[in-house]
Amino acid sequence: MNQNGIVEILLVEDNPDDLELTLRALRQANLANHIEVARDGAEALEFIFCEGPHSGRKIEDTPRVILLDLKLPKVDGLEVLQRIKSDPRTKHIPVVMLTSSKEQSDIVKSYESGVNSYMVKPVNFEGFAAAVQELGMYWLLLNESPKLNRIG
Amino acid sequence: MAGDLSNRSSGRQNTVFEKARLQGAVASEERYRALFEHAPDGILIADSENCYLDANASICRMLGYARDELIGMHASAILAQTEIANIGPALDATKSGSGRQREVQFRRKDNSVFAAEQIVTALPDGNLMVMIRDITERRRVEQALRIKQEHSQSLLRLARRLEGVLTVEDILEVSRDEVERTLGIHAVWFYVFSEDRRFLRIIGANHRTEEVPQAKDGELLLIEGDQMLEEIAAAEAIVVVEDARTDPRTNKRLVERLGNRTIVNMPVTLSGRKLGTIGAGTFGDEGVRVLNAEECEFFAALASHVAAVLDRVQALEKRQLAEAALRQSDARFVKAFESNPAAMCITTVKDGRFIEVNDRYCQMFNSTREELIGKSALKLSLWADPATRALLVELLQARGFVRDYETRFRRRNGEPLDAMISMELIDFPGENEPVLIAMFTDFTERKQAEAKINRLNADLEQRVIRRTAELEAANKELEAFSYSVSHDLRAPLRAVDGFSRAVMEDYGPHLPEAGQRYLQTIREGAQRMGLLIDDLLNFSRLSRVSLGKRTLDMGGLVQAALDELSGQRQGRQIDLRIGDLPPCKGDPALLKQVWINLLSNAIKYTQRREAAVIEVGCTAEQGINTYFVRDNGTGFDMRYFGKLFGVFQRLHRAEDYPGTGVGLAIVQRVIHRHGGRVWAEAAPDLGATFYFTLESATSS
Repeated sequence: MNQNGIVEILLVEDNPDDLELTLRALRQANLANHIEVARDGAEALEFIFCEGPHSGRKIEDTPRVILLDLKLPKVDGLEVLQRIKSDPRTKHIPVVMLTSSKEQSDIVKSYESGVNSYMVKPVNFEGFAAAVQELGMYWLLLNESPKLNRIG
Repeated sequence: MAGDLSNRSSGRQNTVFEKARLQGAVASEERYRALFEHAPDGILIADSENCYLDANASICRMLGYARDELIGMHASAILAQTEIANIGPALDATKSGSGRQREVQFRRKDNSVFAAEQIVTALPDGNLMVMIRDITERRRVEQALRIKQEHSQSLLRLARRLEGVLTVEDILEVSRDEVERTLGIHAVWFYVFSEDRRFLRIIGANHRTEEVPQAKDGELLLIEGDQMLEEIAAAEAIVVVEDARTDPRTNKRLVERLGNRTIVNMPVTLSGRKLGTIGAGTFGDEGVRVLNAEECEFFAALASHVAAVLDRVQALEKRQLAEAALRQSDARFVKAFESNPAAMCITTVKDGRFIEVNDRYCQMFNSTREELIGKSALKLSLWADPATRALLVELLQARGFVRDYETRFRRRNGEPLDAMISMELIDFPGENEPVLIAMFTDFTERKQAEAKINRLNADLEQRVIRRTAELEAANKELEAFSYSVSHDLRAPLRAVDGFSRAVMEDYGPHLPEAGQRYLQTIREGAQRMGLLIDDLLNFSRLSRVSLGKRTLDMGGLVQAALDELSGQRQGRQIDLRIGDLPPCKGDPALLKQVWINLLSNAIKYTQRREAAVIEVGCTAEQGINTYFVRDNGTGFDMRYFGKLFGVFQRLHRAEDYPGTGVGLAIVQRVIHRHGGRVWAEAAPDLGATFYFTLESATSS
């Protein structure tokens, strides 16, 4: 979390190697300034719904995009996605599945649960980096999120 | 003649007294003369030398001489030759007063001989008076009487002898004896009508000779068509063939062979019913033998005796035959019951007391006849459930029968017996009430076999369920495995590749060239492994996805595949020849992958050809389409054909032709899942042709 509390990207990743490579790719594209990292599904939900260590945070301060791994300890990515998309306060947050799985069933279930994009992490770093950078660019710079009434 | 006589007398006694006496005598003489003349007996007056002095009218008639011829004739002239020697002694005997009456054979003028009774009386004057009475007629009557008597005696004997006779053969024997004795005919036979009267059975046929006249003794002769038999069968009176040699009715060939002469057939009739005929006849040297009226009468009487006895014997034989048939039939049914392969028993209805059981029943119930007869099946506990018997008896009494009722019995040793029982009520000799006859079919073994089959089936079902569950579990495991391979195996590879890249980016300038090359090699290895994992996952996925079969436009599918391969075709000069591709039935996504893999291979292995030719086509036959992709590329040695479709199997080095060795394995799996075949023909450096078959879209 950065100083001013604005989080642009919530990265949910349990694999430290993937985490480091993802962060490296985002850094190289200058997209790593406002990144919050969650290491499992439970942490991700606590952050999003301002619970536990994040209870001081306001739920209205949603991240601009969530990069969500599918296979996660404790609560898996699909469930995290469903929780986000079934809550009116969070359902507008763009969620991108960033995963190793090319399984058709995973892809179908993700879209059914309202995922905004589904990306398979390639083995090759150039491809991986390019994909992460493109994603960050698209969701952070090009995509217009609906403006929420933050004052309430 | 009387004059002569008186003359001689008067000559000797010529007195008055005598004269007076003579006067009286004259009147007397006349009377005697008339008596003499008209006497029915023949009278001759002979002198002492047996020369005739006078003869009356009767003797003249008898001898056929005139009176004048006889006078002066000696006795020897009118006597039969055999009598002449007797003349002297007879004369002496007469003179001495004895032997006056005797039978003498006379000879007529025509030399014929006849017997006569002769009385010779010596007259006072010394002459002899011979009175001759013709006894031919008396003799004839006497003879007739004697014959009549003989016939009567014969018939009496016949009747007595036939009293105890039991067979037709014996009747014939007795009849033959009497005919032979009385008529002197040796050959005697019977013709007896068969039951249907179409045949005559001949009995006594081989009496005379071993050679049978027409048939074997006892054989049936068909009446119709045989003129003689037809006449004999129809006749109501005697049929006589005087001489078979000349009679037009006889079979001459047969007559010549057998030597028949006279043949007589007399109907044997009882109360107007003709039973047959009795025949008699002569053969060969015996000559013709004509029966006179008396003999015919005798023969007819004999036939009527025979008729009565024959009828009795036939009735007896018939009854005996019927009885024998009945006995045989009884024996057959007893045998059929006792040896019947089906178990049977006869019991009383009320308490199931055994009246009869057969061998198979004893065997089935593990018992013996002695153990069962007279005992009750219920008391012997042969019914597993006595209530079943009560129910069946009720059914039986309502309907009269029970068919194929399956129930359980108990053998004598207690073992269970599953059997099918059929029952019926019958009247049975020696039982006052109807009894129950039951038949059993043992199907204990069948039942056991059924139970075994049921057990095996249940077992098999259980095993199928278990195996299905196991397979499902294995499938799930495989899915989980694929998932984790897909997800987890790639993460470390990404780390290897990603951090190698990071090292190159961050520390590249400090690394020697060899170090940079090593890092590059590490990255290539990781990336290649990533490709292998992807292909392997694709391949394993093929077994799990379901086939969405529909009619496919194969031309369109090939075009789509070529479009996807446009990158690979970039910068290549390829002569693509696409023939007619008829539609088939199949899954579009999977078959597109097949075309991609085969075309990709064709493009890849023709990369060193200046003029690459790739041909795509199809032949259709009997509802099966055979598609092919032919190239003029590197080809391969058919010796390694067995490895062609194996996963990760490669026939070329990766440096020459990159690839993971999964493409053809995928082709084979997809085609096999469609029920088709896939094969290839190739030679090194001469190109390869890959074929696969699919169900035609037009086949039903």
